[in-house]
Amino acid sequence: MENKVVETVLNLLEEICGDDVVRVDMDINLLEEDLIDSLDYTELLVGIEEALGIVMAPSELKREEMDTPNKIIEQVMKRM
Amino acid sequence: MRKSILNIVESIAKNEGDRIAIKSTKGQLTYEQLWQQSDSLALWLDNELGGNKKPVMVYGHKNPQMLVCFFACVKTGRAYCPVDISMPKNRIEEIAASIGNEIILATEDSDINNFRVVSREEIENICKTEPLADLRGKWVKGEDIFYIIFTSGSTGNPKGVQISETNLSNFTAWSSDMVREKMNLKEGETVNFLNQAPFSFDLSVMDLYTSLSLGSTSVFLDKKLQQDTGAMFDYMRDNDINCWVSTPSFAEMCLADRSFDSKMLDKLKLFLFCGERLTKETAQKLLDRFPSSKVVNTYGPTESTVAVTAVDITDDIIKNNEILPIGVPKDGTKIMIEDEEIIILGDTVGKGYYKNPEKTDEVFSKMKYTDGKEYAAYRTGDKGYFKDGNYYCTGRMDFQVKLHGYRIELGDIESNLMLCSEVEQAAVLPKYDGEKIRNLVAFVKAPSLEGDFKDVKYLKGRLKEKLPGYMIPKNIKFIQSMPITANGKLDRKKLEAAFL
Repeated sequence: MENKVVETVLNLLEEICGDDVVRVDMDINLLEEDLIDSLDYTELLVGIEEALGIVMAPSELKREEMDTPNKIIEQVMKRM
Repeated sequence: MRKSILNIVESIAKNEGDRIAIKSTKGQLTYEQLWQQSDSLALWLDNELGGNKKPVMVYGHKNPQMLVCFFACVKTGRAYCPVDISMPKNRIEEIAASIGNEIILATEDSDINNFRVVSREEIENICKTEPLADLRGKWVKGEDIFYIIFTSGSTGNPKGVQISETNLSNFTAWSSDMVREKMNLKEGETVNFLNQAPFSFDLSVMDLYTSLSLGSTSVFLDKKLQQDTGAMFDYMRDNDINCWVSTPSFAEMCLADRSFDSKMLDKLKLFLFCGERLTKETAQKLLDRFPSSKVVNTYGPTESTVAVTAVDITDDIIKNNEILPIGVPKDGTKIMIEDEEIIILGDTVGKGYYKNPEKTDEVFSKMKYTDGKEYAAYRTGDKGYFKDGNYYCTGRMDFQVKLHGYRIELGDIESNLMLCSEVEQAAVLPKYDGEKIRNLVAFVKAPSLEGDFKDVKYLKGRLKEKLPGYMIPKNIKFIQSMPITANGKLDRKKLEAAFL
């Protein structure tokens, strides 16, 4: 299960961020590096819901909890 | 006779001065306070500047003092030029140099060099002094310039759009009538407007001055709040937002949260959109989530004072159209379509670009309409057509794009990329998601760089010194060579086909 989550999130991030650095460095800060913006988060959450059936509301999440690929995976895993 | 915005606000300040003009996380301001404080600041400013009649830059963010500064400037007969903190230092200095006034009013900390920056503390102290005289005779009026807003220019230099007092008053007369009608407001009934856009973006003029014209309250949504969806929603709810003004992108961001609906914001009755294309999907979602609210699409360039057309978006309109219409022109405005280009004629067409006659002559002129009369005219560079009683806007004629409501000349970003000595060639392309621009991608030929993420970061860093955040391309791709058309120009189509 964890593999599926990791793969799904990384695929989404690679598409949304437009850079494979998200795979190379999974602790990269997506906000600080301008790889993701508010609309991208929206797209990411919709993508996670479609692929994994997990609903994550933007108002429930702080940005600091979702600013690296690893942290995003952790948040998704918590809700599995 | 048409009343100027200063006359309108003065009468509210005198008769119902306790009304709240502005609410923000940094405090609120009543109409009386706005009027008195701007009188005090105007006297001080006029005294300091003397014979220097140049416009005054007002730097800051969503602080109620910003509006005090705007009013202070126009009460001395000087235009103001709003500059938001999101602009990089370099561009701010370019604008400051172009304006050329020694004094800058700043409600936020700044590190602008070579000018006399009047800080928030100083402004607050000046505002506390008793206004001993009033400068009524000096007020900006008629064809005088009320504000100057800088927009992206294709050569890398921003252009200052000059809007006169008459332009602004004509716009607000229309916009406030529209809000009154759409919201069925009774005489004297007031509303709470959402103010989302930074003041350096003229979408903010729509809610701020319409709100003031109606003696209403403008609720400022600052940058910090906009980054915390939960806190932002609480703030909107606590302040009973009735009239929403934002870019469609901002509403889309809110719609991503399921709690964003008429249960959360039960007083919200009207959505006004401007600044970029409103998609059918967004409009439909809004109508579904807010079944008793109206959604109005408007259209207009900064050069013709915020917006000149409007239309109610209904389920039928969404069903029967491929793209949403922009509606019909307001009273006082005519629209002509010439070779697919939208040309705006009438009483909100601005006074050209500040100290830039060359660029002004390219797009501003006088033109005859079909009624035989001559009007001030502006060539928008937008493509459009007229069908079944409505105008439609389909995109740009040139390389200017709209991203999240911001007007961006791709050439501006390209010129700045080329300033990096490593970059031999650069092209910036919009990446589309359906009919909407999703983000920008830069292609660079830079043989001396390796092209890994460290180089991407380096180039973005260089751009950030020069350009506001919304102009920084999301991705930078390194390529061996640029495709070229037969007449030697960069082949954008080929580049797009190959990489996007």
